[in-house]
Amino acid sequence: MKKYVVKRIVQMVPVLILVSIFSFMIIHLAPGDPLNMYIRQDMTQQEIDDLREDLGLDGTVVEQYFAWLREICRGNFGNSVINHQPVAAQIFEKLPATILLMGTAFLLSLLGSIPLGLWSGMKKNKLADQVVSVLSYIGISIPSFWLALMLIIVFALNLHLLPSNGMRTVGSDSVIDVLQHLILPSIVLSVGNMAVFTRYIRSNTISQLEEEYVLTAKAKGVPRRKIMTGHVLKNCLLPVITLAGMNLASLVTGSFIIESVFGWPGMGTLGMSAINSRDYPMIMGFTMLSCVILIIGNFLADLLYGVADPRIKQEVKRHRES
Amino acid sequence: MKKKLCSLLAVVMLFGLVLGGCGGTEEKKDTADGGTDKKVEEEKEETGGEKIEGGSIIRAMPSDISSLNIVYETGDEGMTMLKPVYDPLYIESKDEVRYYLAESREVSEDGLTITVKLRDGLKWHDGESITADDVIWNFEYKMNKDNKSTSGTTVNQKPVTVAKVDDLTFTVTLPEVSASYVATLGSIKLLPKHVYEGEANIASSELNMTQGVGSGPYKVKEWKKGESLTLEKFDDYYKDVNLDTVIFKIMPNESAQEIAFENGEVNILRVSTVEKFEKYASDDRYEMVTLDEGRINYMGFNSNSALMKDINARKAIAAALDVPAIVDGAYGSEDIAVAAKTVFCDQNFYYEDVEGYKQNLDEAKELIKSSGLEGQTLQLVYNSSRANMEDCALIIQQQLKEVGITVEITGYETQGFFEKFFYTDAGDWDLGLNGYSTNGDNQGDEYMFSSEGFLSKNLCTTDEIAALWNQGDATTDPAERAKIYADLQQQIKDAYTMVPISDCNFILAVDKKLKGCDAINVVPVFEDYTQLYMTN
Repeated sequence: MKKYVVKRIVQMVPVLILVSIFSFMIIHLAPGDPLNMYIRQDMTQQEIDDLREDLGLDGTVVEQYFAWLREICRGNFGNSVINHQPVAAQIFEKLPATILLMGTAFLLSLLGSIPLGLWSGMKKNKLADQVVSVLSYIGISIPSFWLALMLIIVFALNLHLLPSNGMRTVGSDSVIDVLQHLILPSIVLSVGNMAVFTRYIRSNTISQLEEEYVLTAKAKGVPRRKIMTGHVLKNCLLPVITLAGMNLASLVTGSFIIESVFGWPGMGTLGMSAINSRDYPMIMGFTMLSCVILIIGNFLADLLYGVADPRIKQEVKRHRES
Repeated sequence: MKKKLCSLLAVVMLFGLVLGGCGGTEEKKDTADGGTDKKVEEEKEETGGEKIEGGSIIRAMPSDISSLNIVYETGDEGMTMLKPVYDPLYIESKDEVRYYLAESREVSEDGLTITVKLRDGLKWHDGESITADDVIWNFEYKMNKDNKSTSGTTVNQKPVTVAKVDDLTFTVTLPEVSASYVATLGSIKLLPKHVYEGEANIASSELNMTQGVGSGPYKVKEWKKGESLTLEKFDDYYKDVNLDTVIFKIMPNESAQEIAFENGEVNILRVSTVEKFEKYASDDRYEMVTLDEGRINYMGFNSNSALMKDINARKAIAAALDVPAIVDGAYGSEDIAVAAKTVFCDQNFYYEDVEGYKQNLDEAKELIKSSGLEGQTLQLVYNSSRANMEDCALIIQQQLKEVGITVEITGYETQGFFEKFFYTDAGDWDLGLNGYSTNGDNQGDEYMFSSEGFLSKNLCTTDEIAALWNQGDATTDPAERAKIYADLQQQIKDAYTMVPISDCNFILAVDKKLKGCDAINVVPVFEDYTQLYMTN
């Protein structure tokens, strides 16, 4: 197992290097220059050139990349070219808000999709299944920004039940206030995932119910509820683990659109602002963090697969031995 | 397995909640933040209009400031959110001088020395006195290039000299006459010497993220990055301040801002379309405040485009366009913008009401033939992040099509647009839609037209125009300056540098209870926050 973990970690290195090269090149290819944020009308060309040098924006893209990589190897993500403060500190300052929002949304999507998917699978082609399926298709198709605005109009503007914007009321530090602000954005973010997960779980439930072990259990007189929760559910969760692993990155990157609509002060708004101002160190820090988390997410998903289904672990072991 | 997964997710959620800094007990809601408790019915009540003491206002901002140091905040956010925190010395407008930290300013007869006297008893927000030593130190740190803020310390790249006369008086001596420098000096924002002195590099100082010690009517109470900036009344300000609190809430999404405004969560909303203007103007909960933005939107001809080098080609396009129709189609109402006639506007110190380019299709068609524009396809670029630009581009495309010119239009987001429009000279576009603020001293627009300005590398200009800009700044007599800038208006028009399109208004829909928003008709709005007050 240890060998496997080490091997996967070593495999991460070339992936990260490739991602960093591509990201660095792409953001430098985009029109725009962070220097534009500093240029004033009374500046001379010499002053502009000096400023470019000060900000480390002189030299070729390749030179800039290696300078950045050298600092990364020393654990330094650099300073924002906009406010000159450390990139890492600014990212970690925003992380909690995003983890809270995305974690809640992910939890909601699981809590909703597992019972719905199981129920829908059990009631294959019956009215309940059709209702759940239609709702799932709507959930998958509905644009999140539209849903967000609709919920804001209904629950904030018309019913005055929930706040429309931000993470807390100005001047308030209470948990309840944060939870109230969390409700609408987390619901919007959970709808899409909930719909996708529901479809996967439904599909798996249908195939699992046709397996011989279910027939055997039924023949032995095992209650239906126990069959579903004790046997079918576990097998149905396998694809959800994969999806969860892939979703782990969004836990830290946030959602550009939903954070923007709800004014949620997380990584999404930080990323958007960095892109708008061509804050290269910030964009790179953000991208690399997402990449690391995505890789870790996939890795954890692989490990959890083994936990959920011992046959996979055995298969991997046999494959390695051969 | 299921339990483990659920536990893991619960821990993740809890972790985020705890790190989110949301511990503690529930406190009473700030009444300023109307939030969800505010009933629309309450807002519908007629306002008596009687001034009340205290109160709060909340304004939505599309993005946050990046630090609390106004010197390094070059964007609109910094200029708006930190304006109540840092006072200028004085502001020169075309009609008057409005004094803030300064009590008076005198310019010597030769125009080379400006003597400024500060008000007595001024305090920084931490209680320290504001003196001439602060001013001297501000010039010293700005002159150090490492601090990346040399603004106001040079005239034509030559340094000015600052000297202390007494604790409240200082002089600035210019290396050569610069009529516009008087206004530049007045708008300088001071940092407190006692806070920043000793910092190796002020541009990257951590104090910029934590201090925000200013001199204005409001001091920083709390900055929750990415969420809000709360300012509270500064009790030691030199004059009375009405509102207790000014809050800026970060709301990146325009629709969300609108909903929050209608929900009573914010008191002020910027309006830039005729639909919204009409909607809020007809709602008795709000009052519309229209200010002269001092902004000219224009279509520039690219001097690096092979086709646009020929003045007849530029003339042809100018003659083909019906500017009032473009403005009418794109903006929809004179409340939002009127057709621009020239490069300056009424908010400038010097302005001549001249005639703009007139549409003449016959002349346009002839010039198109003679200049070789016939059958050509022109590239028009515009800033897609700016309101109404796309509409202008589409109408221009349509109008030029009528005289046989095909135009391909491309929108770029702000950074990409500026890169293409200002900083590269590839000549891969022919026409470009942009805008600039032009209130105050006319010399502030020099960078747009002078051949010596690095931002004007893509605009068609002449040596005569450059010489006139220099002359305008080197002349101190107002009557003489007025003649020079009138001449400039005409020369820029004759050179077909650009087609001025629209002269815009800055419109706010405000909570009817809030008054004083139009006390000073300048943009950025609310130059003097002490003028704002609430009514019952």
